[in-house]
Amino acid sequence: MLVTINRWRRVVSVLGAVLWLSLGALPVALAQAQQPAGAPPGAATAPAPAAITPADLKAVSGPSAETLGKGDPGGALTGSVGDVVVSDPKAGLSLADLVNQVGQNRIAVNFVWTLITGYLVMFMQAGFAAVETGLCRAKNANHTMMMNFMVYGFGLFAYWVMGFAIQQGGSAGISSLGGLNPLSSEFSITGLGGKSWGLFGYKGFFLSGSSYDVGVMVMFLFQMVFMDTAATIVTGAAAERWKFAAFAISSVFLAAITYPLYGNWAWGGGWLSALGTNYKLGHGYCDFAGSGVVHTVGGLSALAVSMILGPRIGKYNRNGSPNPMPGHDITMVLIGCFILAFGWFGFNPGSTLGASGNGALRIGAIAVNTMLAGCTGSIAALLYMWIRFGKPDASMAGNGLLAGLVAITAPSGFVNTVGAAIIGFAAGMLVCLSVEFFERVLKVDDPVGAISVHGTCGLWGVISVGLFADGTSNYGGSWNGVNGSVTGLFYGDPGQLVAQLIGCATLVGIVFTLSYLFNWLIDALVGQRVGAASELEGLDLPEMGALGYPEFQLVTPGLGRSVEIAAD
Amino acid sequence: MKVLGLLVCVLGWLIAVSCVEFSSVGVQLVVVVLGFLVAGFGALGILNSAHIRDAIWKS
Repeated sequence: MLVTINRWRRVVSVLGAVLWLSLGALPVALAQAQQPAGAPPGAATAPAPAAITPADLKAVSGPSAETLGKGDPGGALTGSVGDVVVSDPKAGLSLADLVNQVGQNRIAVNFVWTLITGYLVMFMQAGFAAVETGLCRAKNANHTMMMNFMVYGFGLFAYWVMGFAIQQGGSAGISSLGGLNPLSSEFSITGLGGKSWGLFGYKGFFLSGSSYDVGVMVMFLFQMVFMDTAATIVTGAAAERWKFAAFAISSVFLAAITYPLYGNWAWGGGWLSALGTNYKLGHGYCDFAGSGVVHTVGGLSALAVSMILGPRIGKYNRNGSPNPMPGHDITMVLIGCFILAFGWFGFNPGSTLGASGNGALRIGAIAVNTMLAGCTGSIAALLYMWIRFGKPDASMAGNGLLAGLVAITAPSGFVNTVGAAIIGFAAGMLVCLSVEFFERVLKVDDPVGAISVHGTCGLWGVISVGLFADGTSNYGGSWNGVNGSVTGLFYGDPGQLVAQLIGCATLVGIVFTLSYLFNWLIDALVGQRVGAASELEGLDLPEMGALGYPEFQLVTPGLGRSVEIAAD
Repeated sequence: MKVLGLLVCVLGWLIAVSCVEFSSVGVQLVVVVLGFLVAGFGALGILNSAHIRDAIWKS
């Protein structure tokens, strides 16, 4: 008892010291971080440029074919006036050609940026698969890995059929990708105060008709991989007892309806994003890359499914005390975390939807914010576990990294590095407390901590926009139709915090409820949970027909049960 | 009880969005936080309690 009290005193004193230093340093650091660079004194005003005439264009010449035929090892000759697309070869290069080429180059840069960052996010599926499978027992490895593998296919199909149309059907006006003008259909109702509330889009089903458009394709790919991140989160919390068929149906629901609805409200021109224009609440609900739209939607859907499924057999004793059920491969977990951290460089910086124009050069700052928050998240979780339990726990260090990354996702485009570090550190602490709260107090079984990492820390990320947004970002002079930069409470705009909290209440009140109802229906129709015998044996054989590790004898600690497989 | 929990969740959302009817940002903050907490209570308090009542580890 004395040892326990002394350890708690150490925990409190260390945490208190860290908090005191952070709060004491916060005003100084925030004030220093927001000092804009001023113009140097005595800078001369540049003379107005001379107008370009057609004669000027005719006088420009590039290297001849003969010169280029000799090779260009230094790259000084490749790419010149001869490479500009000319609309009328007989007339030659015109000013219109030049201006059009500039515009197309800008869109091409933005397309390439958005697509490549989208590919990085797609690769995060491998990270989630590794983390979740590693945190589960070996007898469920095939099943857990297959849920993460097939959520890509099921989710993509449902999103192509209808999810994208519901989410982005009315989102025309995104200039960085050429305008997306075909996506011009948003269903709205008259809401509080007679204001228009956008509810869902209805253009883009099957990406057919006018939505068969180069810009729309780029947007679809990028949005789809974000949706899939939300869908895969649920598989972690429901692992080791979820029927594969129920998982498939549930994933389709999430991809087709639940996720796209909230995505429309936040990103597709819906009512949440319009809280600024309609009710003067900051810039409306702001979620730069999806702490709310992606992670909290996934985390709360995971909570709904976990409640319906119930805990794993053996997780809780009759008196309600929990038993540890360690995963089978911590190396896979940490490699998965690194894959996710790498993919997050696509998740957050890619959400500028471009690298040219409209403030998109902030991508470097967004990337640094992202890595900083992950770093402080892992440090915070490590410190908490080390002080509290005496060992630097690997799985919670990994979850701390993910918690920081989840939390910075929403504010990444609006905060400075000091804010990012604080947000990540708080998320690292929060995830540890949340895991214990859900396991010990609420008795919700979550094998991988998905509800805490994505749900709890996702909500923290949404709230932190309303606190830490520093008003220095400039994405074309406005955000969500409100002029100026997104600014949080600590920098003078409490209305922004109100908008963020409305988003949080919507996530809990509407998204969680919708997800629970869908999954309750699935439970009534097909049943969500496997039978007890299948669960004890491991889901690989009963559900998937094959073991994840067929050459190994699998022993489950604590239950005294082994599954012996003869190697042929 | 489960239905009651879901209804309380939705009620919490309604309370939260009703904050736009007030002009004072301080009052807005109080109302929206109240709504968020009510929604949370519906999910984690009422609904989860209903599930714990029938929990597999109690049998």
